[in-house]
Formats: sequence, structure tokens, C-alpha cells
Amino acid sequence: MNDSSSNKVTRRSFLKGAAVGAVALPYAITSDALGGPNKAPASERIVFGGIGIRNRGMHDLRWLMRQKDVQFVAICDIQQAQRKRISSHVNSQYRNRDCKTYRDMREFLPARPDIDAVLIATGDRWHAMASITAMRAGKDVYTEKPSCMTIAEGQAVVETAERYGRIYQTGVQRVSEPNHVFAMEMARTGRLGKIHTAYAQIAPWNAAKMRHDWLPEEPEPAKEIVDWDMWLGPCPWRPYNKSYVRGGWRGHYDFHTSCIGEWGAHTFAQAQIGLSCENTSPVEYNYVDNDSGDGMTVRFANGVKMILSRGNKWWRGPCGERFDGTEGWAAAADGYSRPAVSDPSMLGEFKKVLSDYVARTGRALDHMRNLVDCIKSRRQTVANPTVMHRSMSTVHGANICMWLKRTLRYDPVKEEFINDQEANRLRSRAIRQPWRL
Amino acid sequence: MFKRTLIITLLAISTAALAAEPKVDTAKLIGVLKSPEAPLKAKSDACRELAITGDPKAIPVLADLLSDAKLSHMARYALEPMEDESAGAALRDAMGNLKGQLQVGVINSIGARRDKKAVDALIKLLKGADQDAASAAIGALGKIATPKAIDALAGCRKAPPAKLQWAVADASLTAAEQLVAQGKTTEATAIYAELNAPAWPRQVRLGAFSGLLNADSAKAPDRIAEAINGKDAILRAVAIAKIATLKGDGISSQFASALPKLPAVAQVMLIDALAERNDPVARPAIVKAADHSAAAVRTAAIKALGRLGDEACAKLLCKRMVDGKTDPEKQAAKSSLRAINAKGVNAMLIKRMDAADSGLKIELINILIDRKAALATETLLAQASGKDPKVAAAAFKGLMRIGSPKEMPAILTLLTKLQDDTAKRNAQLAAIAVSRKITEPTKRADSVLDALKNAESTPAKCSLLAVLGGIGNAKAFDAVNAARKSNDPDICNAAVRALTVWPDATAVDTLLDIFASTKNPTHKALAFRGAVRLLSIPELDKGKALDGYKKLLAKAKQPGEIKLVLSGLSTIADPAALPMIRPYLSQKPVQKEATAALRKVSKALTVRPDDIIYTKFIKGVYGFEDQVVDVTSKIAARKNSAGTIDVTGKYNGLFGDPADREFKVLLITYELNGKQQTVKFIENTPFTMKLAGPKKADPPKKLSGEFKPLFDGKTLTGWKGRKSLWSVQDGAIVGQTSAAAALKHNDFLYTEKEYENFELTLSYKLVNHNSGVQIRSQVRDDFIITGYQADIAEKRYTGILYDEGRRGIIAKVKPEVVSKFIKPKEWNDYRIVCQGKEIKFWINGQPTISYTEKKASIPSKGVIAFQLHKGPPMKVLFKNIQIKELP
Repeated sequence: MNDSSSNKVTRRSFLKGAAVGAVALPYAITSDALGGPNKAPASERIVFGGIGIRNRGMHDLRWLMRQKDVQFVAICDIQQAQRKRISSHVNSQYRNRDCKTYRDMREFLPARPDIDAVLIATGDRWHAMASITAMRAGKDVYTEKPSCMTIAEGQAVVETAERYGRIYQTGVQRVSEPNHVFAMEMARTGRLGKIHTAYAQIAPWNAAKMRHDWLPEEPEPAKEIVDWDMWLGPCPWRPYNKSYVRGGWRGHYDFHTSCIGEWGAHTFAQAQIGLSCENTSPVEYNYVDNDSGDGMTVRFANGVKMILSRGNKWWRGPCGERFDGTEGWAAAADGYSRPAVSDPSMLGEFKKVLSDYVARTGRALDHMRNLVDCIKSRRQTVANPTVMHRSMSTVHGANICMWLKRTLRYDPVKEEFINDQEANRLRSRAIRQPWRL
Repeated sequence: MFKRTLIITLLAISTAALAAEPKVDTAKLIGVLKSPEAPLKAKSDACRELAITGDPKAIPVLADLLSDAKLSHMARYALEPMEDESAGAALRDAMGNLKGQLQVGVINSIGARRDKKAVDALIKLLKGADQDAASAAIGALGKIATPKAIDALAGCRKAPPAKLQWAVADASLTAAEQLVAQGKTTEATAIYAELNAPAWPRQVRLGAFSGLLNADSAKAPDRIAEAINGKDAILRAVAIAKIATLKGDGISSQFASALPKLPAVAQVMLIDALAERNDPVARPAIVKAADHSAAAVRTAAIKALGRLGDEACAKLLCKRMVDGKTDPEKQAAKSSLRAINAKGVNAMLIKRMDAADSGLKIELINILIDRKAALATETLLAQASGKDPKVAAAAFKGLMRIGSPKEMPAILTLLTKLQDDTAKRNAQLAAIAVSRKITEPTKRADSVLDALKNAESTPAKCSLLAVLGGIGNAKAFDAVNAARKSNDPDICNAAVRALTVWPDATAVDTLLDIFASTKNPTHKALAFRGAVRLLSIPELDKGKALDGYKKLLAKAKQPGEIKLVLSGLSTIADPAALPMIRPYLSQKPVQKEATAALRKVSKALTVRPDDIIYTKFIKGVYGFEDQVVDVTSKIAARKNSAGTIDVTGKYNGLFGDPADREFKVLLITYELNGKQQTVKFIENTPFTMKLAGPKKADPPKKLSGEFKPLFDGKTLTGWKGRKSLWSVQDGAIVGQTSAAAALKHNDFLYTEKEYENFELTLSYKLVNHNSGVQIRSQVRDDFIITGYQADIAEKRYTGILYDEGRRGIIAKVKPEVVSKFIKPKEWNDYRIVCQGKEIKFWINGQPTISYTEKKASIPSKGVIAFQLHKGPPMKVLFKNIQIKELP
């Protein structure tokens, strides 16, 4: 049930007439509705709600609320403390008391036809299912990465977005950042010659091997405080332990996608876009005998190979990608003031390459801005469902390769592993009732 | 994925990767699933294994578990991916027998499996009282989509209860997609048309509309036209977006003609969509739109012409580049000219340059460069020799990008004629860039060498020498060296300058020579800079680089010079660089650079930079972006008795994780000589802070007491040993054995005095075999010594702590680590500190072992001795032996 504070009928909502779910206007009509120098008029604002906002989500929320044409009006979270924290923050930003709180997204989403889109920043295990649920309810989506746990989940997100004509962006924000855009464009536009190798960084913590242990059982809190069953959602049941709901779910097979997915969700998207392989999957995953998948080569049908790399061999910061072609190389990662290139004179073209990219694609060099623009224009975002699915598919393929400890071959059109039934069975996981893809 | 041991003993299975072999024992897993005592987790884990292996033998026991409230989901986890038909049968059976949420789960699995055999049973559930089961059944029927299933869904659509509405719509849309994929577009269209009615929620209608456009291509243009002219902005946007990919004749012309009547916002979208169709039919309408009253429309049109414009459009774009009313239009025009694929565009752009002012000329040059217009090279050469310096620079840049070896002679001719320095420089760069396109590296300098031979003026020769420096092959090197001998001072200078920009290390020795021997201050300075630069080239052997830097440092006096060398040294990831840098840590003018260099080299070596000095630790902040925690007290608490703060290990473990797995940074604020500084350490970097005592900080490890020589350089006074084996030669103690008088056991030269707590420094040189320095050792008969030894060995043991005649190896260091900083068969410095229970060694400034004695019975006082090892004849030397006793 809804948090009790959300049922209070405030003077404003009473004035508006219908309490809930009436019109496509922001919930609060104040003088603010007329807009101002830093805010679009209410009628032009995209209305957002949130599902599962904590640390990373807070960063996304602040980013979102900086957009002039966005209004944030509701938070849905299985933890009471988080509902309070986020709604307080939003209310203090807007200086009103309009942010409503919800616990169950199945009640939240249909109750708010005024909401156009949702920001989903739950733990990894929920990203796909929450996105699908939101899109079925007619909402556009910004979801954190990694945005699916299996190849089947990725396919389901693609189908659902297409089915309902929804706009969706996965939170691989570096594909909208200048240094990375430059590196990807240098690769795509042939300025590096013919690309033969790409490198994609994987996280230096955790391993490819995942945990299957259960943390010690603790008494389950009341649903209003922490809805444990909802926290698990589509995942297999296990006993409650407070560590899980405080971020201690990483490394666990059911909830996480390993060190490969942790950064690969970003870097494989970055690499595959640069390689013009964002609509396809590798044909081969070559097993490497170590803990992390470091050094694994995956090969695409066009002959290009992508090598997973951990540590500082190719970059001096995290979440990097690199493209090596016959005429040079380019790389980018966090903390770089400029991209790294084989020939410094390439940087002379930095501004030009970016402005050409913007002119050609019409995209803003700001991931959140790109989403809001696309919500209005109904054009595909840069990190749309297909890009998400195909890069995460590579993550899952690499993980399956490490788990089965053997080289795998893949058919990117049928989306099946070749001659490997065990690998094929790992493309999906049965979803726990009552949820379904 | 799981360790296969312990299943029978029913303990919970913990982590392990699934091994490809040995094969999973299904019988064991079945046993676990059947056992009443097996814990829940063990059974759950057994289901996971079966999910991967898919062994049909497990199906019966899994089928039984479908009715178990706690294990039903995990039983489905295993059954759902199994291809075997009995898995499907088991699920269908269970569906018939179960109720409530367990039944819902089974229905979902049946849907995921697209099990056609389940259709009849699913249809029965549609009218049941359980709405959750009905919803699940609806979902499953939508996925399975046999004709019967589709029929049933049609029935559901007639009057769905409110709770089931979304499921009915979703299943219907899903089924319709499959019909389209099967080519049954008429049926699909019927479903979509139904769902497009106002009774359905907006998101369903939107999905249905989109589906209609796909399924019913004949009517799509009409529907799109209707939506375009309608009031629903989202519907209109969806419709227009669809135009981009719609198949059929006349689409482009139909919607191109619709363009002018639409509101500006829609025109922008429609122009984009028409451009994506790449159909020239739409061109005239778009050209017209380039004159629209709204800037956004004009801009969109100009962008679109980049994709489907023709030669005439290119002319228009050329105009708009200049006369566009707004900046975005001008930018779009340039962008489109870069991309436009039409005949004669390059020629037109080249011609346009005739009447253009400098600004426009430069824009046109840049566009031609991006178009890789080989045609333009002639114009570029012409513009490069023109009067306008900015245009000339742009032209040279163009030649750099698209010039071919064919242009080389013309570029060189131009180069020799130019007066202006900037222009000369640009011409040189162009020549160098073009030379790189000559495939055969040995031929790259040929035309330049020819030009040099024929050049008449000195400036021309100097320019050509600069080009040779950029090309940097063997022939160029010879020519440049020959030029150095010229009588003309300008040519000499140019030759030296050419050496300083050499692309590889070939020129390094020459530069060092020049630096050492020249009397010409200009040459000396040039050679200095050039050498510093070249010595840091990664391909150069590190030993050679360090030698070179040593030579430079010996002569470097100005802080500027020293800083330059330090910055070069900082790129050498070799332990021998550290002692070269350290002396400058205490020199105020270059302290900052020395500290930075030390840190950089240490980090590259992943050696703890334990010599960094901070006088005062002020603050530590750890985190990512705005998620940070103050860790000042946690860091301060790590101060140890030696007055240092060591930070090692995982930062999250030390400070807690403030930012949920983002890549974090530790920002340390400290005070150095009265000034506050900060330094950032990437997560998990080990480092040490030395905190100043009451006095000003001295170079590291200054313990109390004075050093006294243990060896007077001439005699063995104070030492005892066999005169036949030990002697003094040339200021060093020499130990030598011969084949004729082979040792029966290891032999030692030892001090008369005993020592307990001390710092001992000495230099040693091992010619061959094995030696060592005994400390705190005991004397036995016949010049035998037992006790702690700082080992010295030809092959692998140098630096370890060996307990001679007692416990053997007690502290190790990896030979591959040590080999990086010792010089075999040459003099090396050993430093040994014994203090209480602690024993520490360094060789050439690098720590090798650090040991704490735990055994109470081991004596801490004893002699110091040098070893000759039995075996083959050997020779070892020791000198500069000093000791400082400690309290």
C-alpha cells in the first residue's frame, strides 16, 4: 500500500480537482507552472517518477532535475528509508511537498498517468523487469546499467519497447561524453584506417566467478520498512540479510553480472558502437584461464576482434575503450582531459569531429538530455534497447564462456550458441512468480 | 558452477565455477532433491546445476517439486530450459493440478517455452475465478500464438475485466507480432485495428498504431497522413518516424508534397525521415523547405541535403554556408557539404575559392580536406604559396592531411622559397607528413636529399635539414651529421636542431656527444633538450637511458635543466632511477619536480614510494564525485612507532566504501615546507607518509649515531680470517678460492668485535658463485660462522635472509624483482639494519626483505662476517664498509 503521507489530500491537489491520475499536467500547479528563465512552462515539461533510487540513482536524479524541462513527482522504493530520503530531497529542491511515495510499482505505475517517464536505478537484477513493467504501463524509461541479467531479458526489453513504441535509454552515459564520442567517431569514420582490434576495460574488483552462498539469515523486517519479497522480485528466493539491501549484492550470481558486466555494460557498448557492431553480437568467445576474463578475445563476423582488459595496460583511468586501426589508434577513459591518440595532430580535429557528430546525429553530448530530447521527438536514443541488448549480450556471452570454462561460438542472427546446449540453457533464467517477461 | 564434493553429506554448497569436467552426477543431485533431510539451499543448488546440464533423468523428481511451495520456482528454474518433451509434459501436468501462485509460475514457464500442447488447458483457465491464473494464461497464449490461442485472445478482448486489460492487450500485441513475422498480415491488422479503439489505454493504442503501420503497409500512408494532420503530438511523431522505413512506391512523393502544410515542428521531423529514405524524389520539397520562415525547418532541410542533395544543392549549400540567417544553418551547410555525395562538388568548391575572402577560403579548404578531395592538392599548393598567412597555414594543413608523395617536389620547392617563419614551419610539417606516405621507409628522405644537394641559399638548406630531422631515417641521419661539419654557423645550428627532433633514439648518442664536447652554448642547450627528450623514448634500453641521464645530470646546473632531466627520468620505470632522483628531494628549487618524479617512477614499479617526505599530514578524503568521506582520523591512526603512516591494502577495507563500487580516489592534503599540497592516490595504491619530527625533515632513515668505518681500506685490522683466502687489494677486501685448494666447507672473514643493533652499509662485487654478509653471527671452529646472512649469489638468492648453519632460508625476495636493481658482476650497495627483533636489507636503495625474529632463543648479538662458499673457485670483493651502532 502507499505510504500514508501520499494519501493526504493537500490543498493544491484538492484545488486541482481529481486527486490522482487525471491529467497530463504536473501534479502541482503553482506559479512555477508558468516556467521561467531556468524552467520550461509546466505544459512543456516531461514528468518523471523514480523506481529504486539510492547512491548512483541520486546522481542520476540530480542530473535529471537540472534539465529545464523535467519535473520529478514520485518515488517508488521497497525501502521506507529511501522513500523518505528521496522525497525529502525532491521536495527541498522544489520547495514544495508534492513528491509522492510508493512501495509497489504495480500500483504506482497505473496510478500515475501524469507521469511520462521513469528513472530506474534499482540493483542490477531489477533493471529489465522494471523497465518492461514501466513500458507496458506506457512510460518511457531511463534505466541504470547493466540493464539485463540474461540474453533473454535483453530480447524482452527490445521487444517490449518496440511493441509499445517507447523511448528508452540505458545508463551508459559515456557514449554521450566528448572524449568517448571522439574515440568512437575516429574509429567509425575511418580516420584510424581499417579497425582490426578494440579493447574494452573490465572492472578490477570481483571476478568472473560468482558467489552462490547465502548470507546468514536475519529476521525479515516489516514490508513497510523493507519489502524483501519485492526486493528479490524475479530472482530466486533466499533468506533476508540486511547487507543485500545496502548494496552488498555484488558478486552474487543471482543479482550481479560479474566484473565483466560491471564495466563491460559501459565499455562493450562504447567499443561495439565504435566498431559499428552495436547491432550484432560476437561469433566467438575465446576462453582464458584466469579469474576475471582479462585478455579474453571475442571476434565479430566482420573479422574485428575485441579484447577484454583489466587494469592499466591500455588506460590510466576506469571504464575505457580503445580502437586500433591500420592508421593509428584512439582511446578514452575517465579522468582524461583529452582522448589518447597515436598522433597528437589528431586532437587538432577534436572540436570538428564532435560538431560533425552532433550535426549528423542531432544528439546532445549529454546522456540525460538526449533522453529528454528523444522523449519529445520520439527518435531513438543513442543507448537504445538494441544497443543495450547487443552489448549486454556480449557481457553474458563472456560470462557464460568463463563459467563453462570453454571457448564458445555464437550465431548473432539466431542469437544461439553453436553446438553447446549448456551455454544455450544459460541464455535465460526462469522468472519467479508472479513476475513474467 | 559448484564444488561437487560434500553433496552427499548434505552441507550447503558454496562457491565454485562450474567445471566442464568431470560430468555432473545427476544421480547424486536427484538424491539430494529426494532427501527429506537435505537443506533448502542444497536442493535449490541442485536445481541450478540441473538447469545447466538439462539431464532428463531428473525430470520426475523436479516435477514433484513443482507443488512444493519453497522449491517450485527452482524446479521451474531447472525444467524451463530443458528441451526434452517430458519437461513440457511435467509442467502441463502441474498446471492442471496446482492452484494459486504456484500455478501462476508454472503457467509462466509454459508460456516461456511456447508450449503449443498447453493451449487447450490454458484456454480453460481464462474463464476461471482466479484472475492471476487467467492473466498468466493470457500471457502464455500471446506468446504461443497458435490459431486457437489467437482465437481465444479475441474472445478475451471483447469485455476484459479491468484487472486483465493490460494482459489481454499485451498478449494480443505479442501474438500480432508473430502473425506479421509469419506473413499473416491481414489477421495481424485486424488485431491491431481492434486495439486502436478508444476503449483501450493510450499506450496500447500507440502500440497498435505502430503495429498497424508495420502490418498493413497498403493503408500505412493513409494512416500516417491522418496521424500527421491530427492533434496527438506523440502519435504524429510516431507516424512521421515510420515514414523513414516505410516500404512502397510513391511514399516519398506523397509525404514530400505533404510537407509544406505541416506545422514547423512536424516539418522538422518529416524532413529527417525523408532524408533517411534517401529518395531523390523528395529533393525539391526539401530544397523549398530550405527557405522556410522558421529557422529550425531551414536547418533541418540543409542537413537533409547533405544526404540526398545533388550538384545544384551543393551550390545552394555553398551559399548558405555564408548567407545562412542563423549559425546552426551555416554549420549545417558546412556539415552537409562535407558529406554530400554528388558529381562535381569538389570542383565546384575549388572554383568557389577564386572569389572567396580568406575566411571562406579557409572553410572551403577544410571541407575539401574532409572530403579527401585529391583534386584539391593543386589548389592547396597554390594557396600555400599565397600572401595570406592564415590561408597558407590552412592549405599546408590540408597538404599534411591529403597530400601524396606526388606533391613532395612542389612542397619542397615552395619550402625553399618561403620567407615567413610560420609558413616555413607549416611547409616543413607538410613535407614530413607527406614523406610518411612513401611506403618504403628507406626512400622517404630521397627527394629531400636531392633538394638539399641542389639548394643554393642557406635558409633553404636549413629548412630542408629540419625536414630531414622529422623524417629521421638512416640516410637523413648521415646527411644531417655531414651538415654539422659545415662552416656556416646557421647550417650547423639547423643540423643540431634536426637531431633534437629525431623521431627515434638513433640520434641520442650524437646528442650526448655534442652536449659533452661542444663549446657552442646554443648547441649545448639544444643537445641537452634533445637528449632529454630522446632518452625517454620507450623503445630505448633503460640502462642506456639512465646512463644518458646520469651524464646530463652531472653537468646540469640550472634548476631549469635539472627539472627537464627529472621529468625525463620520471618516465623511466627502473629502480635505478630512484637513487638518481633522491638527491634532488632536498633541493628547494627542484623539490616539487623531484617529488613528482619519484612518485611516478615508484608507481610505475609498483614499489612502495617509501621515500616520499611530507612534513605534516593534514587531511584525507576518500570517495567518488560527491560521495566522499573524511578519513583523516583513520589515516592518522595508522601512524607507527617509526613516525611513518603506512597505507596498504584495500581502501574500502580501511575506510569503508562511500560510493557503492565506483572507482574511487583518496585525496591527501599535506604540508611541505610550510606550503599546503594535495596528492591523489587511485584506489588501493599503497603509499607511506613520513612525518617530520621536531627538527626539519632530513633525508630518510637517519637514525641516531655516527657511521664508523669497519675497514681502513688498506689492512685487515679488526678482522680475522685465513690469510690464504682473504686480502686487501686496491682498497677492497678480496676473498678468493682456487681449484688447487678447494674448500671443505664455507669459509669466513669475521670482525673481532660483536654488534647488536646497528646500520651497516657496504659495497660488494661478486665475480662468481656465492657469498654473503653475516650479521649477529656466532664463531665456530675453523673459521666457520653460523647465523643470519644477507645472501649474495650469482643466480638467485641475492637479498634473501639466510640462516647459515641453522634454519636455512628464513626470508625471501623474488629473484625477478631483485634482478631489476642489482648489477651482476659489478659493485652494488648493501644496507643492513638490525634493530631489536627487526632485520631489514636494501640493495642499491631497494628493500629486499624485512624480517621479525619470533624465536626467543636466537641471539641478537654477534660478529659480522663475509663468506666464501665451497664449490668452484670464486672471487668476491667488499669495500666502503661502515657501521653505525644503534641504541
